Amino acid sequence: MASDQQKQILQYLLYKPLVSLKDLEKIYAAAYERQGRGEEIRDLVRSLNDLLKPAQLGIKSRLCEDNNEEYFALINMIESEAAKHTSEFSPAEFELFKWVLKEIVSSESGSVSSIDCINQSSYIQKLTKTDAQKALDKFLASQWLNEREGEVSLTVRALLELEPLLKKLDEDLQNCKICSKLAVKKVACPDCGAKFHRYCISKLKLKCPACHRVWRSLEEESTPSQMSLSQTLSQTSNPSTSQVPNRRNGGIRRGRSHMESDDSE
Amino acid sequence: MSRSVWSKVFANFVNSLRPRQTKGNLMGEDYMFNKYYEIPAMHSQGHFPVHSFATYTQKGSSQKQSSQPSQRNQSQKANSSQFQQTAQEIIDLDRMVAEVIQYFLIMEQKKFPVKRNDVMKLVPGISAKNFQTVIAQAQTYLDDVFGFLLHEFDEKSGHYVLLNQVIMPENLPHQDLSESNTILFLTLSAIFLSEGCIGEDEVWNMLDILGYKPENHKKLVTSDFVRQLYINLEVIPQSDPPRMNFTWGERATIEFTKKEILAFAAKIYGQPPEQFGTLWNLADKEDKAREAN
Repeated sequence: MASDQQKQILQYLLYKPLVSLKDLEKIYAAAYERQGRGEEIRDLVRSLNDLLKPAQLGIKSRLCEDNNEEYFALINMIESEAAKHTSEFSPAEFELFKWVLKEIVSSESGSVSSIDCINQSSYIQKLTKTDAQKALDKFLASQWLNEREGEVSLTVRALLELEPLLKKLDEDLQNCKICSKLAVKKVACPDCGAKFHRYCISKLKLKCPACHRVWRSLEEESTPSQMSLSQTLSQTSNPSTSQVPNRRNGGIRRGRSHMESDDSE
Repeated sequence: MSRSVWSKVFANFVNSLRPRQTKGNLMGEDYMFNKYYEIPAMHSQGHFPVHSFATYTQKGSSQKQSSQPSQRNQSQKANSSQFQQTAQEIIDLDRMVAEVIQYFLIMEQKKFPVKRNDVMKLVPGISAKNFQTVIAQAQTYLDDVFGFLLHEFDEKSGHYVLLNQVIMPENLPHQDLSESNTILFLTLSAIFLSEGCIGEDEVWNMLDILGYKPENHKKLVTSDFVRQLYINLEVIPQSDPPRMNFTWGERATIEFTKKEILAFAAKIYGQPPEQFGTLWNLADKEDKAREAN
């Protein structure tokens, strides 16, 4: 039997299934009329999960891939008939949604531009560009997708609840080898190809746990295909950092030729 | 330090020759008085322990609340003839209840009433026989855990709606304060202020004045609100072209008190609710009648 406060919190979560840790602290404070300590928040989630078990629902948490903050989501633990047949989206909207998911998981950046999403409407029947914009707004409002600076990516809710679907859409999708959670926004080790979250590998001071190679910087190690791009980019900036110490010795002697040979290496 | 491997191998072999247990062993009860059953695992055969829980048993408050169900492998058999069901039947029933619970919760967000036929079609394995059991279990769960009262409408038997019993604290907003909600309140107020029945033209006029273009919202009021049982439509007999009257629907009477609607109207008119004369008396009477129940 849930307490009144637990009922209030559950009803709130039905309405807004995705909350950050800070939001959850505020919710706790609103329901219990006092600040909750860290342990109490965890206990709350645990007790709510016990209550939710018979309905095959649960509150799961993970770190957001963008800002490394912890988020909690009320999700379905099974693929229920109820959820399958009562979608909040029309068939055309759902087709767009699946396309967006596929694009996001197959991309390197884990995102797709909102303009591309809207243009995709030309390939979907019964979906005009205005419909596509409305659909995109719906996805954002129901907390499945995030948009930042025109790039659309997955929320923690989508990462937690849609994991089986995402793995089906792209077979190469892996879990981050460090935190073992699904990695959509990922970086790959150029030597062994293992995928990690940016935050995860930064915490390990850029040392790949699989092959023990130490990366020089996050930017260089994006992907093998981007290596050439990042090499030319780092050339224009690196001479000032790594090559100046070397040049100091020869700089006085080389003098004028120093300036000309700057970008030729 | 021997693990007695060979004796284990022999025991597994002998167990594999016996038919696998189909009735779960009672493992314990939780604080909601659910009984938990477990069919032991046979890891060597690739079978995992099968868990399930049976119905709530509404025992009296004198029952001591037990802690988490124990995972000890007791050889206790399931007690009482009530639980002669096989473990598989229990699992199926649990699953059906979960589906029904989820279906009600999802439809609640859309505010559409759930018809009995929809439930029968949607939930696999549900039949006329177990429908009542499943609905009863779902009802108990929704009240105990979420504070939703599963209400069946009398007018059209077989329509279910979730009514919220929980008072949400002020700084925990959860209502959809959207346009459609505002229009609903406006329409209901208009009906109430016209003593329970109002012609559709007056409603369109009112909405127009307040900035809600009738063409955009006609469908919402005449189709969605009626479907959600918030308002009733009646065609005025012998009217040409046919005009309709609106009255309060059964769901509106249950979900909103007249006082709430009057308070809303009072805000719009800038008059305190007490100055609404007979309407205030009506609202007051209804309040007292509710309290008496």
